Amino acid sequence: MQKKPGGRILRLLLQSYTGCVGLFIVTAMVVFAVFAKQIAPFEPNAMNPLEMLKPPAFCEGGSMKHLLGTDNLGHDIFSRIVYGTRVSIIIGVCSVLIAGFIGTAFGLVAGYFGGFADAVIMRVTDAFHAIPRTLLALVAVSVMSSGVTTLIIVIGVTGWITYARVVRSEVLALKNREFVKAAITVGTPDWRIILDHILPNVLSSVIVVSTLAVATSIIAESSLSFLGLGIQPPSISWGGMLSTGRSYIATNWWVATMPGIALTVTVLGIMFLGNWLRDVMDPHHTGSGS
Amino acid sequence: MGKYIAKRLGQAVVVLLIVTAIIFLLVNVAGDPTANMLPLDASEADRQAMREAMGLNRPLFIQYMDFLGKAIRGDFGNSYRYNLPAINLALQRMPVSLQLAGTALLFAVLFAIPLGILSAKFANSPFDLVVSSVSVLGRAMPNFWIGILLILLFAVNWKLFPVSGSGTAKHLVLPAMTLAIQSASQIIPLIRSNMLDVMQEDYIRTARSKGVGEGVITMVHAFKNALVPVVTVVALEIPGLIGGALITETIFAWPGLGQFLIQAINNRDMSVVQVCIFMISVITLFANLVADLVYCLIDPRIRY
Amino acid sequence: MDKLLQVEHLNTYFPIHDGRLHAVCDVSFHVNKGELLAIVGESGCGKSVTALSVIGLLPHRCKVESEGIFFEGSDIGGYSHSQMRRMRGKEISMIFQEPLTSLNPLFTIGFQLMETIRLHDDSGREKNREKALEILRKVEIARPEAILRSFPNELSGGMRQRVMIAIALVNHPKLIIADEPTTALDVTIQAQILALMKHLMAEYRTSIMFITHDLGVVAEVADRVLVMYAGQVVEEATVEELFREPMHPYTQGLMNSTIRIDQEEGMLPTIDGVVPTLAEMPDGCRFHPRCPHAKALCRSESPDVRSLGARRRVRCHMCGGVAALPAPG
Repeated sequence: MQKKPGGRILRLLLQSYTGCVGLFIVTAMVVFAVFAKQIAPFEPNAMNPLEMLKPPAFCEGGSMKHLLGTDNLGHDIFSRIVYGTRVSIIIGVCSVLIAGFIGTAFGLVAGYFGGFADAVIMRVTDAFHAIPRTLLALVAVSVMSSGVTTLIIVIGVTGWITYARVVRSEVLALKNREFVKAAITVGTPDWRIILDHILPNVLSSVIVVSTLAVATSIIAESSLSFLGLGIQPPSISWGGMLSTGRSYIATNWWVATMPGIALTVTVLGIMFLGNWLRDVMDPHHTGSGS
Repeated sequence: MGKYIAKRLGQAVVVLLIVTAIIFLLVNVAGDPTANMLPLDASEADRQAMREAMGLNRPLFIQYMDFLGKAIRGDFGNSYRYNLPAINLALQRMPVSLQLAGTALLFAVLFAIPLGILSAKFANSPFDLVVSSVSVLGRAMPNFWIGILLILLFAVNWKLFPVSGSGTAKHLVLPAMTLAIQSASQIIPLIRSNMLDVMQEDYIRTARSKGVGEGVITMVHAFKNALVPVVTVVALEIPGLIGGALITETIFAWPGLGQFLIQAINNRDMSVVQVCIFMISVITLFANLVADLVYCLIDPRIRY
Repeated sequence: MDKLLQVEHLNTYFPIHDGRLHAVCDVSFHVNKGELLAIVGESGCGKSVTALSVIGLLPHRCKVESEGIFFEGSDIGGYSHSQMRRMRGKEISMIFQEPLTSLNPLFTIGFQLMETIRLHDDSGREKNREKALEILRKVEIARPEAILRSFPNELSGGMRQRVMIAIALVNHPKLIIADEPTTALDVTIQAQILALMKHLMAEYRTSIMFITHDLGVVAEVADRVLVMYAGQVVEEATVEELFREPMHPYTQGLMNSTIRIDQEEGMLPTIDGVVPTLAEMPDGCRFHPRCPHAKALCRSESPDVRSLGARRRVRCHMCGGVAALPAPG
């Protein structure tokens, strides 16, 4: 009767076409990031003045040597995209860990204790919501030193409000459940109730929010890098590549389009995986799934 | 109702106080306000003197109260680049941005409502599949990338609209579309799923039992109900729209608050940055308040 | 007596990948003019689906087949969607179980009531309003002007159901289908609503198809009764005959499980088991797994409906004989 949960999840995944696609894309991304050196045919920052602005292999004038063409400095675009996954994954995942930690903590406190703590935390969330995230991150990055660590912190710290809101509303519902009431009645200390009874029950929502948050964090990073305030050369970010390509949009479309497609596919993959996770973990959810 | 509005206004004031604290801390603690006011090779003694002159060696709380006191009077200091009051500069740029954001929101709603309704009406048809796929794609693409694609297609390839700039209605189309596509992508699936839920309700069956035609049922009886949650989401979209406008204005050289703000950030012109963030927060809070009021105008069940 | 509605061999089913799920199976009945026909059965026995098949309000994926649904002699079973739409609210109208969810929360009572008038019998804004006020007075609503301006959430359950009755009655339809109209109401309100419906029915000479699971309500209001089980008609009789001599074991079971004033002390007898689901219909008589009198024949062969006299039909192999058996309990 007891099946392994892993087997059940895998079976559910196979039933979902988009879930499979999502898993495939995310796996491919991780492989790219880990084995960038082996996969990329060129050094990502290797300039080649003789092969500037070469079109992709499938276009007229392109060659198999540069699969997705080259940019204005003769960088191989495919190699740069492969290396770019590293930045996206590291920043996406690490910033979500920070955001998830802060947001879940605030959500637990606000939902469990209510009253003044709740009022204060909710007003702070409102304040963070009133400032567009990109803007807050931009200013924060501009006053601090730029670099991957700064970006992780900034994107993480500006991304916690979704967690706080979701966790808070779940805690409010859980507080009325019998097992929590029972624990309160027998005098269990608050922190024990939160850690033993409430936290495990909000974790599935936190995981669902996290998957989708990785996607928004990747978008946030690429936006900052696009504006020149994120990842600085020689580090490679898809946002930065798009920014370069923008100048050549009228003549050499592929310079901007290739990293743009990479970004879209990645975000799509994470969204698919996230939506599938949501369907699996929350069977009551009546979403727009078709 | 009046009591509710008063309560919400009170909350908005508290939120704005927190916003000022955030922007104050951001500039004065996370960063060093003197960093860009002195030449790079200035000595530590020079910097110390500068801090003293600007009152930066006082306790943080005193500095904040000072900042807040001035901010309440609309004084965010002068832009060091233009040497003019920052708030005036920002207010000058505001209408141009509101024009863009307003057009975008209008486009978004005009696209999203019929597409959302039709894809619910023909749920799981090829039409629905196309609309759903496009809106998933719209959510997966950062807006600068949407902007670049639109430029590539409509300005470079088909030469229908100018690449960038402002002045004519044609200049407005591409930046507004960029923002609208992003917002519509959020709204369409919401309208679709709301419509699908609402069409299952008992009162829709009642309307049918009265002999009401399907068109009227969809457009009147169901749509009004499906619209209620959309109002909230449209309001929640507003910070995203403004955030997106920052980048969109930069791409299309649209001379609004966003472009001005990005320049200010690049120049470390912090007075301008602070006033812009403050104004954007005010707009967002106002939009949320309006959304709440519209919400209770549409839905008689909600009485505060 | 004239027949207002005559349904011949109605079959309603959901097509599924490997066949059909029959929710209503070969159901025939009629409603006479000025008569209240009660359709009784447990939930899931197909009574609501029968009603919705008649008025054409089933979800699109359900298929309705029949040898005719005759309304005043014309076969409305073959009507197009738009023909049916013109019938609904004008000739046939419907009252639903949940007055809370059956009214649109975002529109005023006035809009919802006058919309029905406007659709079928528009005579200008003022006249329509007059009509709306008149019908609200008929359903005994105080301060009808104020009610026109109010929203459903501002009314009590009983008031909402009165409004639903007003909406159903306003165009003087010949047939009203009432699907458990009093189930969601308090007992006292329930009695008022039933009395009101009986009274208005006589005044407007309307026929009612009254769907309920409550035999107490049936005894109070019905002229004739159709008992349904698992998508089939199992017994049909006038209300007096049915209560005097229930023939089908299922009817007997229903009656035994209804509280009576002369009830002896002890457990209320119930019918064991549940209504079979559409996918798991038993072979033979559909009631045999729950029937205290089931024989081998009942397990293998489905009984036909047999007429016993002009107004009495029963679907049971032991028909006639069953009544002679000792009643259970």
